[in-house]
Amino acid sequence: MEMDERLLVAQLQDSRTLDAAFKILMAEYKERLYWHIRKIVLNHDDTDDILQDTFIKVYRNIGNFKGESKLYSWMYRIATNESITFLTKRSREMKIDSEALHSHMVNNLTSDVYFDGDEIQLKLQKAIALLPQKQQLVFNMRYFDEIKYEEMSEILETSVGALKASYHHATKKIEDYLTKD
Amino acid sequence: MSNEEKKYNTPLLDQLIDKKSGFSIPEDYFENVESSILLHIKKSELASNPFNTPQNYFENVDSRVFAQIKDTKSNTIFTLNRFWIPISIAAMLILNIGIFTFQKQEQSFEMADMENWLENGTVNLNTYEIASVYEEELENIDLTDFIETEEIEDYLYNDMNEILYYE
Repeated sequence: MEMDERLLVAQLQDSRTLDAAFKILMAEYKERLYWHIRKIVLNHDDTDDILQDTFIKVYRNIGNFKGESKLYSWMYRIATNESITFLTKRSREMKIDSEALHSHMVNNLTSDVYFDGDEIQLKLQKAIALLPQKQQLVFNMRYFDEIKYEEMSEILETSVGALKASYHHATKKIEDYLTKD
Repeated sequence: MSNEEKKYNTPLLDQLIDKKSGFSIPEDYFENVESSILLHIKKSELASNPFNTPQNYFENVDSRVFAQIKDTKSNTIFTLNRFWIPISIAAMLILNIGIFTFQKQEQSFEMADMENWLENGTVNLNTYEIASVYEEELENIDLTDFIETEEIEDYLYNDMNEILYYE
């Protein structure tokens, strides 16, 4: 953990400086976390809810943060878990499996006012929706967010080798999907 | 993109898509989201339980409850004893007096008294109970005795009408 981050964590863990430090934390990470969540759940309103829940969990649990991983990785892990929990709950409510839920979510993109992608971008989202959940996460984090494998390994608690293999399988499947028509 | 990743040969992903996801957000979303999150946190803090418990309260509460249950059990036995013993003594006394009185009354009990009770409706008995009371008389009835039809008609005419009025 770098010095700036250590200082920020110390301020977050002190009730006298918590609120001010938390504003700095939100300003620093809100956009990155938003886009991470958005690529998992696709819809803006759901992303907004999950982002809020993520920051609330961070605020409540910062006292338990031991500094064994980077603050950024810890927050990404919370955001990822919140997003996956949301999807699991949604598929249970709709009584459909996760594959059907992803295809339902992608189909909704055509009428989503906050999706202005072109035909190829919509097709890319359809291709991503067909991937297993872990490959979706790895592909989005590596391809769009360009997160390093070492950081990704800390967030997803998976070895770098396994992440590289996942990314390779994901890109191959997506290429195949994009070129099949 | 690293050289290692380029060897996977993904020309469409590298060139056509240009890493744009196509997602957009409402205007000023990131300017307002912080205040919205802080509001949520404050609301959830207000909604959270303001009461604390003593240290290690939940670790020790079950053993304290069991200890109290044991205490209550022994107290209950004592209380029940204190309650039931006088009542039992009183009940035994009443029972003794009752049996003694009934035995005395039995000595002066006569069949006529029973008939009066039945007539006055003081005692309600069913057919079997009545039969057991008049056992001797019933045994003496000769069922082979012939009753004339006219006698039956007279009985029905005179006595049954009276009974029907009572119904």
